[in-house]
Amino acid sequence: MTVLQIEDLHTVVRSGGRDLPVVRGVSLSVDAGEIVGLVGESGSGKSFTALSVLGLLPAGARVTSGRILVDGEDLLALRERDRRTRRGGTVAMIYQDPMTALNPLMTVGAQIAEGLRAHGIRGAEAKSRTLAAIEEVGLPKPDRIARSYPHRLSGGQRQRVVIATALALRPRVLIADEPTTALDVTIQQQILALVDELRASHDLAVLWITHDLGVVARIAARVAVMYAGRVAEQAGTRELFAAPQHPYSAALLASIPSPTDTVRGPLPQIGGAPPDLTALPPGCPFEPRCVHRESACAATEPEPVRRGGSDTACLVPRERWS
Amino acid sequence: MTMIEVTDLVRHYRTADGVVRAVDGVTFSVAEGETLGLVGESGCGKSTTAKLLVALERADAGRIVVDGIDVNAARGGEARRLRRAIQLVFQDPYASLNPRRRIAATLAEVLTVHGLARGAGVAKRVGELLEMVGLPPSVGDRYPHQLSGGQRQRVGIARALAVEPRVLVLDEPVSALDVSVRAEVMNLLASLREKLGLTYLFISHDLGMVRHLCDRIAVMYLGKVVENGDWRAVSDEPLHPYTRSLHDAVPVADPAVESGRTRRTLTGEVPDPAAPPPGCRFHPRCPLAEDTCRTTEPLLTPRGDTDREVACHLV
Repeated sequence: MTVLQIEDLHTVVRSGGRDLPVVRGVSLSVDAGEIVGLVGESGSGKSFTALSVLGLLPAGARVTSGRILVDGEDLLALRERDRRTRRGGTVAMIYQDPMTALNPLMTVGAQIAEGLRAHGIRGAEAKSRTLAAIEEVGLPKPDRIARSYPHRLSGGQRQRVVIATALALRPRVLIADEPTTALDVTIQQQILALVDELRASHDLAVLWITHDLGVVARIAARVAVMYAGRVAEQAGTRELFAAPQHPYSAALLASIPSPTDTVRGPLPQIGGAPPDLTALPPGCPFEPRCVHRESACAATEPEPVRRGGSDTACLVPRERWS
Repeated sequence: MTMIEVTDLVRHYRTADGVVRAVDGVTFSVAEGETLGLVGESGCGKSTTAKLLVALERADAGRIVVDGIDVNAARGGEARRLRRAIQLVFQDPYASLNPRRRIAATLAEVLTVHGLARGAGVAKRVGELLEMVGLPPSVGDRYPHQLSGGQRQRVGIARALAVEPRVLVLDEPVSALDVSVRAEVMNLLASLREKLGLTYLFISHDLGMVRHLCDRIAVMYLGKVVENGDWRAVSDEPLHPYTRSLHDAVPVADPAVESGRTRRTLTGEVPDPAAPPPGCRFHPRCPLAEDTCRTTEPLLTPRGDTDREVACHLV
């Protein structure tokens, strides 16, 4: 069942007297109990997509069109007051640096309780739900953790606290913005396993933003690859890794060293750089860097088409280049 | 010929929480033209080791010899020779570039300070250095903030190469870069190594990149080397239980591999380096730990007839 559905989202950032198109018609959906990986390099628009869903865009940025549906309700059509209750209540977020989400002057327990109070849960119920949330994310001695300040905790423990805070209100959607990038790999492994467990037990719809294709391969059922503000390709994780339909996805995957290489030659490079959003080419934004481009690619920007189980915004079918 | 020889290296820091044993008896060597990968998680001592090698920090004990120069004893002319022999490339090249100075001026400064070029020779050499790292001459007129992350890291490498070093210490050189840019910088490092006959110490937490570039891999845990050997042996058939856990923890960009893996999940956190556990430092998290491991510290000893060394009582 679809919980989060983003339809033709457009977001701009005001810069130097003009609107910079940072999200240009993104459509994607996440089912209950599903993790969808949102992959892209710097400037691809993946974080602006997430912030648009949460209604937390920075000053100067705004959604210009599109719909963001959670259980059929369009968040963009809500009044600000209602939007606020959905944030945290229905849609929660975890960040790369847990300290950005934690108040250093408040104990862990007080912070979780504050979130609950904002949604009308107080007193004994708030207390028991706070402890239950801490226990659920695998932290030992919930009582003691609740009384601790964030700086007394390790990086991995802090990220667990942030997850506990996010899930205390039983949201339907969790947006995870690179929550393991700053962690050591053995701790990352623990957090990935935890989120996967919680996804199953809470039937959560998770949108996991990352640049790490290994993390996607481990936890995501589906992947959307973003490039220049658009989804270049959206497919099942296995399908995308086995047979990428978009030349950008293919090039990205090829640039990572294989763990089974015995001869170590140069890594395939993409060459060039992503387009300047103030001067986008008229055709496909990847065309100037694409080794499989055809003459039509420079003329019109391709719309996603369904091909071999994936939605790909490319005019050239994989059969012509693979 | 041995280019880097590190013996029983120790560096402790006095802090409010006690003495942090960042590097606590580290021994390894790197042959001329060889690349050693130094792998480990935060607090394992890999970055401190890097700083000790380039004499940004002083060792409390132990010996480092780089290109025949005793790093701890080098003074005067020897110290100058050392600064030309070994250079550090940082994760964030911003840290090594003056934000108010154009790239050409930054590179020119290195050349004049070391007396490597004069007059018209400076501009010529700056152009050569930029070309060497695959940058157009126009980059010389720019400021660091006008460059992309990949271009900045290339400038960081050019700056290190300006003194014509024999060794580069690369501290997470591609970790801050986008996936597609990483490939470009990795290829550049591989080709420079070949062209200039450089010796690398490549420090990274990314086992995939280490496996791609290095001849040998040394794994550190809490200030000690726990395993050291040929790149394929250490990355594909790790022996030390910590190396094995690390190997399992790193996600591989292949869903078929990921779903078929049996994962040995490490529980617990890296202990406080101010209070390392007695015996083997890994024993509180080790799935194999026995009584000996809790009391006796294992030494790094050779295994089989290969050049692999492992510090573990049980494997």
